[in-house]
Amino acid sequence: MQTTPLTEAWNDCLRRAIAKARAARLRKVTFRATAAVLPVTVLSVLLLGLDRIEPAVALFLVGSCVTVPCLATLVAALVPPKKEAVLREIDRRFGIADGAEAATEFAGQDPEFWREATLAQTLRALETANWSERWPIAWPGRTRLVFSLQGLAAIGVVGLIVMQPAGSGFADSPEDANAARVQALVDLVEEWEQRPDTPETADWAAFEQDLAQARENLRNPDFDEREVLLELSRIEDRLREMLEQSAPEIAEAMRLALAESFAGMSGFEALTEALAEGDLDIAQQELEGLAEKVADESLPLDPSDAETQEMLDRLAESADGLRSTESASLAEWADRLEEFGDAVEAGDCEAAGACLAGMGEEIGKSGQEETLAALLAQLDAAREAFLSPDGEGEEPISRMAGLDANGDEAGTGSVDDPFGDESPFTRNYHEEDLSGTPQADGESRRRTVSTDEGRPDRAVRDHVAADLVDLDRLSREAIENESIPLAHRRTIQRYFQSIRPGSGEER
Amino acid sequence: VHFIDMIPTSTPIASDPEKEQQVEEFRRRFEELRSEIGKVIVGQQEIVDYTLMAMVAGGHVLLEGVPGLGKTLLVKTIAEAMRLRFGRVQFTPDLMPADLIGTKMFIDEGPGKARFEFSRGPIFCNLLLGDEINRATPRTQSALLEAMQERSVTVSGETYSLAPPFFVLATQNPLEQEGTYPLPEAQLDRFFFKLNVGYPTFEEFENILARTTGAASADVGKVFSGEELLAMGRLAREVPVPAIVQKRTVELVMATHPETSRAAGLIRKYARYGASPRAGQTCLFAAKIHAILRGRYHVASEDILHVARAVLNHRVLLNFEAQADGISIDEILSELIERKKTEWL
Repeated sequence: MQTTPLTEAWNDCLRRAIAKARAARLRKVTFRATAAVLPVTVLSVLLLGLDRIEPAVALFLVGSCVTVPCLATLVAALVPPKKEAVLREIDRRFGIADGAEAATEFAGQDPEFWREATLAQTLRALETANWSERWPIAWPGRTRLVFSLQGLAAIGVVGLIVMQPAGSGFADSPEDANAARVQALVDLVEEWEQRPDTPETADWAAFEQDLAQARENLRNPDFDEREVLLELSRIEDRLREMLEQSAPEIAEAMRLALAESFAGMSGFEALTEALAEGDLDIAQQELEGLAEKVADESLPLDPSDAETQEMLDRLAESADGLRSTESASLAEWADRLEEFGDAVEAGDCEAAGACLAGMGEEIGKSGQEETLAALLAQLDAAREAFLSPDGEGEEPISRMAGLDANGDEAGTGSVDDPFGDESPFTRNYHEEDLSGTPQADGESRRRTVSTDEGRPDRAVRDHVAADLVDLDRLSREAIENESIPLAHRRTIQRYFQSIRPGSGEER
Repeated sequence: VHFIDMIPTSTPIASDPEKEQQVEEFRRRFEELRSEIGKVIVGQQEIVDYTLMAMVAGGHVLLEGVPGLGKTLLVKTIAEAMRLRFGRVQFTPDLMPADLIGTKMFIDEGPGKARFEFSRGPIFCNLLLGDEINRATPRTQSALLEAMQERSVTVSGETYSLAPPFFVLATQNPLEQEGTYPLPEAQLDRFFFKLNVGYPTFEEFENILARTTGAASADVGKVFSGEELLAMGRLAREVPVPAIVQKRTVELVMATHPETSRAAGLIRKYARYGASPRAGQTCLFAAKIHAILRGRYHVASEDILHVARAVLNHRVLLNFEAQADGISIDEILSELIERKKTEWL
């Protein structure tokens, strides 16, 4: 085969046509791909606007809808058009009746009149024709419209996502969020264990053991929210118990009782003086010293001795006085005084020394109320953070039922009391689990607690608090899972906040 | 925009100016012949063109139409314009093959001397007009069959060649079926084209009346000889056919075969037999001539489609269902050609 100027010219022409065909195909493919995915994009925007779809899903869909046309365009740009298709397009566009097909075929053969004539004729037709007019690569209105709509939709989705309130989307997974909440509590417990200002008392040591156990429990991945709260309640109880014992009025009553009981007793002068002056630290030291002396009988306490008998009488009076206050802590003090008196009467010096040592230790607890109050505040804050991890300012669950830091009473705030009259508590409470289908779609649970006491005991309160946690979780899940528009969700949320006991709108 | 309009004819296209001149001469003479015939024949331009194309290709033409449409006049005018020896046979049921071919005559040359001499029939001509060919018996039609295909006749064991060019332009009347003998399929296939001669338009009718009812009559000039016609045929055979066009020609012909998967639509339902390979040959040859006339140097798909109807309408046989449903071959071919036009162009 010879290469003639005609064949070279034809090859040039063909290259130009292939470029045109490629450009035309690019436009066509891009248009078709964009038009195909446009409904999905628009639907995503609408669903996102109506809050019927997660922002992440909408972003994924729109991203896909942008990616698909891009990929299609890329493929169209990389894959060369088929030669047959290009030749046919040339024939059609320039009206040369299979001239391109024939010319291409003849260009590959030896020159001869008819072949050359065909080639020359086709070439002339193409060279004299206006390519832009015959084969325009235009972007018609519908193409521009489709691209504009796609772009607007994509911008719309991004805009809607950006305008979403903080925290309403892209949340961590529930497992991660829960682990983070529990870890915060574990960190708090560890921080308490390492506090330098903790009192060196047996109670605190026991409390530290409880804390270590609580830390291990909290680290248990099978621990659910209810069990975590019960654990926190136990810690809180211990703290409150210690706080109660270190209360100033308790310390004062105890100081006076001791001062009166040991007044005029030989060997106890320094102690009574320190108690009279209110110096509890010296009093503690004196008590510890006396405990040793009594135990090793270097300070004999003979019950037959009149002085000792007077002391025992005063001890009995003080114990009665303390018990009459109905304070549990002071009742314990009364017990201690009586135990000491009994030990002296029985001539059990060792037991008497131990009682004095115990009194010294108890005195040492006085003055811890600030530390314990701080710990309680931290615990309260930690529990609040645990129950309101999204930072929407909701009240802690403990307060919803009136179980806040200042009260043990059941909550009474309600709107027209939709649940009926408050149940009278009785000590021998009992629980009833009732089945019901309020909306005919599943079991519901209701628990009635009745007690004859003015305030429920700790166990009842813990169960109620845990139940409230469950109910709170269920209500949140219901609100999240139901197909409720975002605006309505907020309205519902505000409503429930408003009817909670302790809220500003409470009646 | 016609393709031919885009090419300055004065510009030499190829390296063989002589050949190019021959191509130009082809077009010019053809046009000349058309205009000469146009002096006598009013309208019927398509029939004239197809007839002339068939003659250039060396093929025979069957003209079908009601009486009085100028079929015979067309053939006579063509013969006049081409300096061809013209023969005419009016086919009738009692026409014998010998009446057509000729017979051996006993010649008495005196005492003891006698011989048989072949007396040539009207078929020994360049252009035979077989008027109302379907009125002849199959025996006579078969005699014509050999002449059309072999371009020779055999009488008493002796074969006589017919001088080239030899064309049969036959006519038949579709109205009267009584006492007629429809042409057998084999003989129909021998015809290059079958052309349906239709009624003239209003203006053409007026023109016919004006021309034929006056005292003057048109003189038809002798445009060229039979030898030149053969040369034109030879030139047309040289036109190359691109592979894609050849493939499409096969596709077209095979689409008339109802039993194949290529057949579609009405063909599959109404055709009994499709066109033979000869239809493909005819199609391509006619398309070559059409390509030259359209100013092209290669055969294009549109050339194939242009001649398809004339080539196929007597080669596709319809079944009884088509007759029962009143479906004509014209409708079936129109659908096929339209489908191919959409597919190819």
